[in-house]
Amino acid sequence: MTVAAREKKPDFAQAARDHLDAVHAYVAYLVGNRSVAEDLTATAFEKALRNWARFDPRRASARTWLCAIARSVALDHFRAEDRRRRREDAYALRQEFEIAEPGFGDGLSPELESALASLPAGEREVIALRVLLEWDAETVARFLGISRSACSMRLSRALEKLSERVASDVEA
Amino acid sequence: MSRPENENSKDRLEKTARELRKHRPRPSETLVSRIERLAERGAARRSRPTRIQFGRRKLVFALAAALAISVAGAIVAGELRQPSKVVAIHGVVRAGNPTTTSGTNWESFPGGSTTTSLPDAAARFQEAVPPPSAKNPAALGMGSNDQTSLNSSSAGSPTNETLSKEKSLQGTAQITSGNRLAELRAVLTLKVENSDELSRKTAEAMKIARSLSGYVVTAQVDAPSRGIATSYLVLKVPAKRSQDALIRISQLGKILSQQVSLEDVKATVTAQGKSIQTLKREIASLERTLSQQTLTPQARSQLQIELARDRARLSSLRTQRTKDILRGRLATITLTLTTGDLPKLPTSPSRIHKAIDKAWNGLSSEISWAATGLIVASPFLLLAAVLALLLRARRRREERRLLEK
Repeated sequence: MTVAAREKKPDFAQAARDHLDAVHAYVAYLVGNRSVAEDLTATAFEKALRNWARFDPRRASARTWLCAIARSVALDHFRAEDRRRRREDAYALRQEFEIAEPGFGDGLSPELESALASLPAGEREVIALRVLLEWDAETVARFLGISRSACSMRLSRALEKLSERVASDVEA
Repeated sequence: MSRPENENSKDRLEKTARELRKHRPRPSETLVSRIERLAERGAARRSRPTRIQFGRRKLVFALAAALAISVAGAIVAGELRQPSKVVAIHGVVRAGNPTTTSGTNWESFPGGSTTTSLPDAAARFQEAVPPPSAKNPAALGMGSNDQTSLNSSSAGSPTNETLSKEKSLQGTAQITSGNRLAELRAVLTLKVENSDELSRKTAEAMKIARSLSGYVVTAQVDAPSRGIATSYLVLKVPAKRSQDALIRISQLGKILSQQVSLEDVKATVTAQGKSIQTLKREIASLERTLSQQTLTPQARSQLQIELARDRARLSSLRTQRTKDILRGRLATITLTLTTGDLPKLPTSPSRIHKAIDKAWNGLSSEISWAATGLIVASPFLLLAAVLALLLRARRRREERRLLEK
């Protein structure tokens, strides 16, 4: 890394303070559970601190890098959950837990909340990145490892579903 | 979908997006304080030296450094790969330059063999050979051959013979091993006037070999009607008379080049003799043991096998010893008679060229080792790459599955 690039690299404390909000929002949308999201966000930042020396600002912004770490942490969580569910299914102990607290943000209408919860994680993820974090389609596509058109398609499908479900809930 | 419906849908989506942005999840105080603590830890860590980063530029530097090290290693290896245990003895006289001296470059190593190469000889003897002096008749500073002395020598006059011997000593490399058994090989190239003389001198050379109790191993004469005529002879003469043979043969024409090499075989023969004695003792002991009647059949057969093996080794050693003794007793003289000139010797490469050559050789061997390693490793690397791709595809599929839930 050149001296100039090293000078441009923000320190971890600054990056953590600047991007905590975005990373938390992203994780919250991805997992759909506030308390889990908080735990995972903290884990992601701990991991980021451990690997901060590896962060290269020329390759990605600090926010993208932190979100990538958060995604990997969230995927690990999904895997663990998947294994837990399978184990519990095997022993017929599975118990569905209701989400006790709002998972996607305070003040969201219950219809929108439940519509968001009904979406698959992948679609919630693209909504979080494009709508909440306001990343451009190119960045999101690169981040998710998919094509730009696939990314746009996923977003429009997710928003469509969301609107339809909200509308049907309201009508009901 | 009609336009108002479309606009309606777009508005609805925008409204949803606005609402989502407005009520974006915020981290709790607990999380903020946790992250603050982490940030403080991160700030404390900032003063520590960061780990070495291997960016692209560093990789390029590392590759350049590796290349420089390999080149330096090649140079060092090339320097170290000097031939060891070598005695080089050369004498070269260039045709048409009677004042040019021939000479010998001596590099003595105990019990050494001798090897020669013409370019090295030409390069080295000029600087290595002491100038000829009257006090040192055996020194090899020489002039060209004298046809008169050759004629007088072949006439057999005693006074002329002494004179011719003295003169011929100046033109021929004098190499003797003293009383030690040593294999002498001489390669001589002589120039003669024309094809007729070539045939005559060839016959004369064969006669010389036979007259000294030697024999002709190979004789080839190539005398075309036009162009350069050449004859090639390989002669064997008793080592004790090799100097005489060399002197007489070198008088057959003008010396264009000569190489004389001497390889000590005494040490080898002595070692072989000792081994033979040891084996004989062992065989005698085995035979004594076998003559005893108390031996079990198994022990007897074991001893018989050993005895047979020792006898075979003894026989092989004896054959080899005989060959080595013969090598020492018979000198080989390779004589080329030609009507043309010696092809121009390549000029001696400079020190820098030699260093480059050695470095290149070293580098080539390094490259060949690397290539060998790569070829050996390539199936495994390919397998690893395929495995990595499969694992990556599997991970992606699993991620997709997890995110679809």
